[in-house]
Amino acid sequence: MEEARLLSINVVGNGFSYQGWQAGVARKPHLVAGDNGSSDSGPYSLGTGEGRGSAQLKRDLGIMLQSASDLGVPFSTGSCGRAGGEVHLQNTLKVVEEVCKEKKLHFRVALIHAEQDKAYLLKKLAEGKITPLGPVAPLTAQDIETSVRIVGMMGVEPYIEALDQGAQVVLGGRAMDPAIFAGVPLRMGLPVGLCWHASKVIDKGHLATENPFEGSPILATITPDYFIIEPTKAGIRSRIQDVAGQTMYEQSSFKIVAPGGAIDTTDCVYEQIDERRVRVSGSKWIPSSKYTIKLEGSRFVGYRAVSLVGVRDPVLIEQIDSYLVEYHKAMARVAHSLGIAPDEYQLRLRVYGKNAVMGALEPNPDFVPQEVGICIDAVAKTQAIANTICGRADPVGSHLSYPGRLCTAGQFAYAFQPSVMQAAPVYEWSVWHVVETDSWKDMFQIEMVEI
Amino acid sequence: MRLRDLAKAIRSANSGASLLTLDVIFDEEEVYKGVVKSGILTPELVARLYRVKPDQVQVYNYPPAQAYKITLPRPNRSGGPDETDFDGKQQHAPLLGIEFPGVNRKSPRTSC
Repeated sequence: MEEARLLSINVVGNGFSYQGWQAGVARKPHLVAGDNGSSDSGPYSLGTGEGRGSAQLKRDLGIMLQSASDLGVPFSTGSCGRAGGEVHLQNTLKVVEEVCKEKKLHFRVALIHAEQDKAYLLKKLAEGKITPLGPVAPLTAQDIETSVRIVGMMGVEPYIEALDQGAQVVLGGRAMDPAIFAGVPLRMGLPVGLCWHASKVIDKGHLATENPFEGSPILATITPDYFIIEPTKAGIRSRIQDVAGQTMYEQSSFKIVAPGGAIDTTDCVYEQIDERRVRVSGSKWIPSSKYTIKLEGSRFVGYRAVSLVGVRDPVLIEQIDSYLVEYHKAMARVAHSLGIAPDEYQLRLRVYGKNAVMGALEPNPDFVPQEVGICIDAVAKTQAIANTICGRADPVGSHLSYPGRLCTAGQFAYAFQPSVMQAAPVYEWSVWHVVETDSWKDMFQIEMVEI
Repeated sequence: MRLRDLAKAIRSANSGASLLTLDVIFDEEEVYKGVVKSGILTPELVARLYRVKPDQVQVYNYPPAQAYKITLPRPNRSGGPDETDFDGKQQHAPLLGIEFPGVNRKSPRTSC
């Protein structure tokens, strides 16, 4: 049986070493691929339809698509446009078309749609087929209905089907990262556990190398007995720790769950075969009786305005917790006097220097620093209300009295005037659940386009 | 020695939107073995440091990576108006000061 060679980079649109890429292409990979998105960017991308900026994306796509054409092998990507919804997928297709027009490339392109129909999900909910992913509350019909859009995270089956239909370029909506890569070696008949594990290791490209900031592409060579991971940029190394570390990155255990099963890495053997390369064997695929797909949904919360003020007064800093209680009470009175109802806004006072970063998890909340930054954060039904609340919060907070107060001119230091800054609108995850489905075809549709 | 002096990397990240995952990675095998043998890094200790319940904490060690992996629930679903740390990348501090008596490095820590 032939070995499969897969060439990957970190993220399409994040850049990579050109020299490293050419060295990888010289190895004649069977696939050139890279992930295009993530839910790390949060629910904003899914809610607004905004994706990645296009200059770096065009550069990366240009190089990768040219190589795919030169080698006569597929190019594959997934979670297009960051969030992998319909508008994100269409925007990515536009960039691909532009690049192909400029470079005079022609491809048979498969689009794999990942955005979900609310009626379908409501039916699945009523059937009791939707469960929480991690410690979140059970899904309600209202969560589905109030979502701006909901995507399913596809596994490898749609990619295999697209390749079976002769796709030379596969653009997937929201996808599980390894699924972008695993289709090619699986179609070559290589062992399922090794195909998935290798795909998982390379799905963030240079993070599986010793020096990620060098931006080296990564080559996975998969055989019936093992896979080998190596960076393709000269002088860059992958060590056992990088490969094993990448296996566990952002996972909560050593069984990596995928649609239809899990990759069990508990008994894997990692060997450093030379300075730069790692060989892995023993990865097992454990099929599950149910086929489940992860769902991500985004919901609009409100418009945001923020202000950042400095406090250097030791008298206030020593009693900041009780001050904040009075501050909130004063702001509630202000909102009321302006006819703004409590359910029309939320006000947060984030104290940098004390507990703004860890919030409820901060183990050391009584620490008294010499200065703090108070970030006044107003989220409201309209931008006007957010701006008003934030705008009033500055003078109210600056002149609010507290026991022992000496700095009677005011306690806030402003670096910017006007102090209110309009921020991006706020979205939250409305759906973070798993749906059991009879077939991936109920959720993901493949569309072929010639460019 | 303290964990911050023994480990090569101590990092936090989201594992999806509902969980926080912490990796503690060692570059010296003897240090890793010493930490494992000490039995100090437990769900109960982590629960105390992060002020959550012990049954919400999972602690694994993965010998090929010479690393521990710790998972606990995020205080809020990631994203949303009350977010304090979008990617969960700055939640590792409570682990740094954990003491491991008798466990020492052979060579000085180099930066990553």
